[in-house]
Amino acid sequence: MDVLFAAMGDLFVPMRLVLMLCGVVFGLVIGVIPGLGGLFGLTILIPLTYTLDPVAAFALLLGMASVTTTSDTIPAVLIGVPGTVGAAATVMDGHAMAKQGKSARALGAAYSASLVGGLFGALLLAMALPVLRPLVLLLNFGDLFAITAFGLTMVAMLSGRAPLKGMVAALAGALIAFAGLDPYEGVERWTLGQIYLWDGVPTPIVFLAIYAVPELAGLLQRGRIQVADAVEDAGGKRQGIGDTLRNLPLVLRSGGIGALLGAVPGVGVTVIEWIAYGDAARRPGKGPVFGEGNVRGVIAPESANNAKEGGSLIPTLAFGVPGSASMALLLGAFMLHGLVPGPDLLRDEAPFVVSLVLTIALANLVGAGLCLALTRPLSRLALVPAPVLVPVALAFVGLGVFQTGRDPRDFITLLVFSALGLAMKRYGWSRPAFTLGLVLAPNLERFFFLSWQISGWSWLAQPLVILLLGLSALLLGRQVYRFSRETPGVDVAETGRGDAALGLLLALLAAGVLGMCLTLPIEAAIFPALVAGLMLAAMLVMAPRLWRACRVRLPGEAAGVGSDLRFLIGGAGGLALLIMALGHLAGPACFILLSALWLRRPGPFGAVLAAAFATLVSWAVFDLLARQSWPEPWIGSLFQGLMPG
Amino acid sequence: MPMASRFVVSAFCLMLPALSVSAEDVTIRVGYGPGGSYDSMARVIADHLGDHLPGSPNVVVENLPGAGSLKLAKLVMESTETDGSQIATISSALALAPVFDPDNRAYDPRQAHYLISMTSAASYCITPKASGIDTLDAFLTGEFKVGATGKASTTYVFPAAIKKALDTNYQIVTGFGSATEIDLAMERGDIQARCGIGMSNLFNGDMLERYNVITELSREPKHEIDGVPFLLDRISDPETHEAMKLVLSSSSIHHPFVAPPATSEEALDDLLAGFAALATDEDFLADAKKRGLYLSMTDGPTVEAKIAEYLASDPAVQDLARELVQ
Repeated sequence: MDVLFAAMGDLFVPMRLVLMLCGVVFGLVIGVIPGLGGLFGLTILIPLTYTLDPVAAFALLLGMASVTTTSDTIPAVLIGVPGTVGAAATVMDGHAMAKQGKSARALGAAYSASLVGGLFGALLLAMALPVLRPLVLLLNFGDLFAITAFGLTMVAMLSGRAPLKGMVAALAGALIAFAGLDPYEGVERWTLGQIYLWDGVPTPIVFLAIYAVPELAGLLQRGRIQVADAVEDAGGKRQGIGDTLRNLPLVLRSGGIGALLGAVPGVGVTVIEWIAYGDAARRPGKGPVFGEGNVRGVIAPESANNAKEGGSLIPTLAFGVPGSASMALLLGAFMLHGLVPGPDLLRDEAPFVVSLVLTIALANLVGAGLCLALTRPLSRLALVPAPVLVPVALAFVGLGVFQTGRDPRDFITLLVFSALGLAMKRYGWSRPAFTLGLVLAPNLERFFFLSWQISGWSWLAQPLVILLLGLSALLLGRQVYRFSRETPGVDVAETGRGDAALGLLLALLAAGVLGMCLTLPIEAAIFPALVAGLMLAAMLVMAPRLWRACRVRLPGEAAGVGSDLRFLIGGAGGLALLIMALGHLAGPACFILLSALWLRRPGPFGAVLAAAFATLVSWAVFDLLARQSWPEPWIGSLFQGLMPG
Repeated sequence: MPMASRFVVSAFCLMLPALSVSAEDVTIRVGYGPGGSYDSMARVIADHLGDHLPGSPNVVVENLPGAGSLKLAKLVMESTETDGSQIATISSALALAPVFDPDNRAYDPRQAHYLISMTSAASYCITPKASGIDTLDAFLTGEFKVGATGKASTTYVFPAAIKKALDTNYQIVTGFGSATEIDLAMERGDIQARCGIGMSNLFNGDMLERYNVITELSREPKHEIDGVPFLLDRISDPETHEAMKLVLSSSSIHHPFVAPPATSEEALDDLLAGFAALATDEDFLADAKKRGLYLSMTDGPTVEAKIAEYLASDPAVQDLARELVQ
């Protein structure tokens, strides 16, 4: 108790609280911008802590890091674009709720669940302090393989009425993720001779392409976020908070999943949020089915991903072993302030360690409180006309993509996967399943080879491995049984020839990969070949239905595809060209102005205001806070070329 | 004014900030992600280098990770910047790319301008105290597992070369996501050794209390840690000895900073002078020490001379060195 009071005395000093508040506000801002996250925030803030004392420094840093997963809910719910990778599961039901006019309820539930989850994570961290080391040492790579495989079974939950399509989408995501140098042999797998692809396709860009561009295209066609006949929910925020309180056992269970798995280095936020989502989906309660606006589908992942932040500090504090790049930066910050993480820190600096726990708890409280206060104005965004909202949102997506590597090929990646995302959305191939395969398959392969090299096949007899793989098989079996009994399947009349074309394209991808595997060493080929084989088998089962579909001409299909293409080429492609030609400040601004001319909305004043807003935010983030050397705009090169000498 | 004209005028107004690219900044690009030793080194340098460059520019750090820093190295080669405003820190192993990866056309160390190497300290192999492997003899004869990340990293290259040169019995486990993941696996007892660890990490926290330092890996004996045997003393065959020296050469030019080949002579002189002044800057040295960074700097011309020497070694020795790291 003395330690707790000492920690409170250290933290509750006005200047340190102000710094924590600054961190929280900054964390909330970068959580909203797609493509940015806690890692970006830490690189900016750490240099500002050089002259601060350790408690103040970590109040600022953890204040920021604790809340990026709170505000990333805003784009996830409102426009269906996960602000960070950790908000992908929230999109499923949160965005569906926003379309139904329940954005305030979804946001209210998400923030309150984030708050309770974050506090629970901090509490678990505090309770785990004495037993940190054995806890982290408990799990080896075999267990990590089983946890990841268990997370992958969530594909079954994400496939809606088309389980085979969901499976093929996940396998396609896996095949694309296998691009790059393989983890065992180090040989190149379908890199097209590009060093750009040695580390695989850039996942954050693929996420934005698969979710953002199709959702924004759909939003532009719909006219606004909230569908026209949906009734606006008065008092939705209060209702959302009530949902969280009514589902407290779910919130705590999801928080527990987040905190415990967050403590294990190697288990990423994607696995954590989907396991929490899948756990909630098993007991959907009253209300719509999962994926169509069930509030429990918002509460579970939001509680889990905020609780994870507390858990992920455990290996860093206990061993000085960071579980992620963010934690590696924090470890550097510890060193900078003369603190050496490890058992000695827990013993000798107990009040400081407890002050970290308090900071996480308080930051969650303040972050969720601020977001809740802003829920009403934010939820009104659902009523803003799409021609006003979409160009600004797309401009930030473009900036988020380009800042990843400041490489023109980032835009090519965006366009290729946006085209795939648009087609998947139009023809009902699960995009969450695709991204789940994309993120989890490389880990599955890596954990398998590490386990096999370390202990042969004996790891398969570990209790947790048996339990989790058994559970995965049971869950999959039950889901297959349910689908075969209850789900009517998708009628070919709903899909049409475009669906068949996409199916053929994916089959060709699988066949191509299988062919390329023949030239690879066995260790590098085994996983991709297995995945491609499974994919082809699933496609064979689907072949008769796709064959029927290719003879169906859907009314309005050509117009819909044309509209998608216009958005892809004119919108995403045009934005890419403008950013390349005019730079990261003028490019998005010009895009917004030209969009206003093209769409005839908003008026000149509104358009200039929106363009100035985008320029200001871009300048503040990428020039003022985190100065980056962007490639010289083409227009700059042109002027240089015209200048004499 | 018609609406379209108003839009055009607005667009040009908004374009102005983009055209005013600041010439006063120097950017240090890091070929790895945030949080690692390359990133830490760049950030401490960024905090002090500006004081030693003409005009005291603002020095900023940005991360461009990819392909073990080869992605950035390729950008360095292609850069047209002549004013010294862009420098980079890339893998020291790339300096030996013509020997170990002759097909690699992305980076030519003879074209780039080396400005400094931040450390020439030896690398080491370590084992956890609980492993029972506490001598070099036990390391060279025992059957256990050594952890490694990718096959191009020193965590693989060094133990692979030792295994071939001295016919050891250990097994190398590849595919770890990072060196810290290897450390955690050692804590768990899944593996029993890691090679290629540098002084900064070794003197980090209580590492020396928890781990045995088995052997020193460098071209010449450094004896930075008392009682740690020098690996090359165990290799009696002269050709293998020379080949192994070549394999270990990258640690003598570790954490290098380079400028693009296009950099003008004047800008290059400024950068070299700036780094030379930095090397004796008391504030910088104290700051680096505070952040747990172990420095033993080598100036740019000396780094380039070393690289030229390594690349000019006997072709037979180069062939054998390549064979050792396969």
